[in-house]
Amino acid sequence: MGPRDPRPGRGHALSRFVLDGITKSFGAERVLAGVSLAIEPGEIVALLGPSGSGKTTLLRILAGFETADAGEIRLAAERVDRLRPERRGFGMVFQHYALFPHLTVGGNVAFGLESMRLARAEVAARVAAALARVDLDGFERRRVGELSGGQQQRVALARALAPEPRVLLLDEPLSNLDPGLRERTRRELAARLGEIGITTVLVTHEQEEAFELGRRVALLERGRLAQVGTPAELYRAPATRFVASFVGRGALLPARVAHRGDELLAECAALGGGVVAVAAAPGAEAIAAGEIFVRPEEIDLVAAGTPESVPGTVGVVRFAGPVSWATVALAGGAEIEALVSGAPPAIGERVGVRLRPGARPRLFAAEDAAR
Amino acid sequence: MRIRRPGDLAVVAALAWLALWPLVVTALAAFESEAGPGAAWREFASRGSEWTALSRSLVVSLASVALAAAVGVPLAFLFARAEFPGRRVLAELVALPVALPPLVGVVAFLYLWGESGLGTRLVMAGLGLERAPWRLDGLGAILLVHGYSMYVYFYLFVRAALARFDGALVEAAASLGAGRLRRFVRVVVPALRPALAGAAVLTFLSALGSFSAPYIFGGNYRVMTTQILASKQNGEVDLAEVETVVLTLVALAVLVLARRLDRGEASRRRGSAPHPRRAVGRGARRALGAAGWALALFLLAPHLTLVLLSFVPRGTWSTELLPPVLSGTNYRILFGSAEALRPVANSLAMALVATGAALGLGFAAARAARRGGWSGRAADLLIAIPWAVPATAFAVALATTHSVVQPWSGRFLLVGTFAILPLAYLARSLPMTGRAALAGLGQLDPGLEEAAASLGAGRLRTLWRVTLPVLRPALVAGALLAFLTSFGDFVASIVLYTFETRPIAIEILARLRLQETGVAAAYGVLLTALSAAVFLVWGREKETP
Repeated sequence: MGPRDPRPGRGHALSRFVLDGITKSFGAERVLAGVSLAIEPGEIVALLGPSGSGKTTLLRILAGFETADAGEIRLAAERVDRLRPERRGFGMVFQHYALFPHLTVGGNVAFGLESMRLARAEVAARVAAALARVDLDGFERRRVGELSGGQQQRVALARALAPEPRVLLLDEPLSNLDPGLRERTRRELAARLGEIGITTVLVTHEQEEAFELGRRVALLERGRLAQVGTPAELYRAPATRFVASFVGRGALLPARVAHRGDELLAECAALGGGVVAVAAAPGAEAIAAGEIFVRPEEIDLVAAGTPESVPGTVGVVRFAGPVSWATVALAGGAEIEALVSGAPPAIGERVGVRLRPGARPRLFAAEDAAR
Repeated sequence: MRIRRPGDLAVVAALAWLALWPLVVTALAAFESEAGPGAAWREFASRGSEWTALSRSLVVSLASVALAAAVGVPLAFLFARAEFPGRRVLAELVALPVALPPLVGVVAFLYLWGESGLGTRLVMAGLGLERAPWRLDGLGAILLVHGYSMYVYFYLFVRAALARFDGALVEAAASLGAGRLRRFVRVVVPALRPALAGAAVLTFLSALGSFSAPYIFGGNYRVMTTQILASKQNGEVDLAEVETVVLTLVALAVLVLARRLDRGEASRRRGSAPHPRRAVGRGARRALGAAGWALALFLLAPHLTLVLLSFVPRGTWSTELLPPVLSGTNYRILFGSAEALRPVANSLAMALVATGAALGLGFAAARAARRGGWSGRAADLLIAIPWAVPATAFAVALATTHSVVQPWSGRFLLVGTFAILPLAYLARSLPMTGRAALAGLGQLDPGLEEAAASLGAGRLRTLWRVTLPVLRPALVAGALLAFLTSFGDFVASIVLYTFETRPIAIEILARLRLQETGVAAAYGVLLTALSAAVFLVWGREKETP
């Protein structure tokens, strides 16, 4: 294996992909501040974050299109960050696909194979196999411009995978598709990535996409990793208020905290002063007052005047078929969102609001204390 | 800002040597004249004729802008907005004057509207006049030729802007209660401003650098370009250098002004609602159609005259209304001997060399300019200089610079060699290939090159397999334009040619002096036909994806 051919095939996908302290600034603006992440062989990690969080820059650093100011990228023991993009042996699917407009579909897919000095028949066979893998059998001679958006996306995937890269990088792979097509393509992409079993890093700003595609999700906030974990971990045990509100919906309500043995109990005035067991976020284990994060599914709407409920008035109702989301203005002035199954409440209706039995909201230190 | 790559530095150095250095050398030479430092400048300032030439150059340029706008803008509106019979064909014909090489166009005008020209004779015969009703000389003649060839800039620019114009803007203005006039003044005109400014600058600089029309028709009406050549031929080399510097400064001032105006203009988003064509009433349709075809005939007349002249054997047409004898003699002379074909071969070889070099250097310059930074800005500016500086001035600067051997200061003895003309053509072609490459690179998705890299392609393979193929249409367009300009060049050639390396345009002038009008016309037809063919190829190229 000489330096000309960095792609030894699938066998080497069995190495850990490690980002260590990646830091990058554009001028005075720090875009990435020491991002470290270890990705297991064959694992799919979704880099999630709002725009400007540095996720695209991080992906471009992995691909080699940007150079980190500090930090290392390693694949097993190999330092990858010193290689030029074409020597890394990483496949990439671009946001706008970047299909070569002057080449056919087959020409696009063959492009990466041509640097490998394969026999012509071998190239043709691998192109056909790559296209078959994305259900585009026989598309070799089509022009790129004739394809639909979904087909272009699949060609981009086939092109990136054809040379059997060591790592697959996906930059917002679904953002260019119509909403209707997006969900179906997401399913297909998830199934394909699962089948192939290649180490994958994908960037997205859509939580749903990250949750369905990523085995683990790395949530970036202003150049730092806010939390890395499975989708369920991020949703159920958010490490910070940012994670809690970025992943799903919910409301923060002030609460007093009582410690009873190992148990943490919160008393929330806005929800009628009842006492509820809560789970502390990191840094909130020993506080006396903070905020609890209540998700819509942890709220019950009951008839006004029901004991242990606080009165509220229904504001906006978003009807979504089997369920509805209702915003309720509480008597104390706070606003809360409730997930309602069955018949949605009427706008302006007076209701009672209480925590659903068994709910265990997350407790965070109050904002000024957290800073 | 840092210099991204050492290659960019080499490109900037080459551009500076080619485009800027001759002007600097000439400016220095103009100051150190034989009669002591600054003597030539004092001479220039004291001569009334110099100031007259300078003011006439400005008058000609400004009047040309006004005339070209007055013809081109209404035509653009007519073809963009009204529907009438023959509109499609006419819309293409109207752009025809650009396909006429400079000297050839002027000569055609001379034999068409000159005192004994074909058109003039027809008018005299039609009106029963004894003498020609006009004389084709001086300011009027120059402006006629300029108006004929330069309105195309306004026509093409404004028509393109109107095609891009978002009709929804006018609809929005109407829904906000703006009447017809207010919609036009407040919405349409501001949208056309960049196109109008661009056409005005292009026309002004073309008119300022125009040489053929003042040379053939000017007579005693000297402008700066003809003044420079006259001084040079009178042996007043120092004075010619001062004139060159003055003319260059005027042109560069306009360029700087234009770039400043351009900068304030943010790029507009392409609109979606097309402006509807208005079908005009039946009477108006007929009138428009008739006027359109009359215009087309007027525009085509110089070309037709040229073709007719090329079939008239020498000395067979004197006082008759139409030529009595037509034959292919002139073409037999042209194609009959190696010596007669030599200018064609010369032009072909020199234009090809220049175009090839301009393509490579222009592309490199565009890449450097796209990469930005100090070297990028320098490259961007340097490829604009030969575009603004009049060809006569640039040719004199080249001649001044490369008439001595001082390799350590970038000066070589090139005057009188084969190399000097291709070098001049190369410099003049750079803005065309460079601009075209820059435009192509501007539309190139940077993801394509990154995609190639992520697929294992190195820089060279990415350039060869991805960048160049995607840029092909833009590069071909730039190269064709560069080739056309070089192939038909007259203005730089007349300053720098030698008998051995004479191009077609110089041969045409020589044949005219020998009263071999027909042979001159045959050369002109050859030149024009080649230009037209190149335009056709270009049109094809634009259509292929």
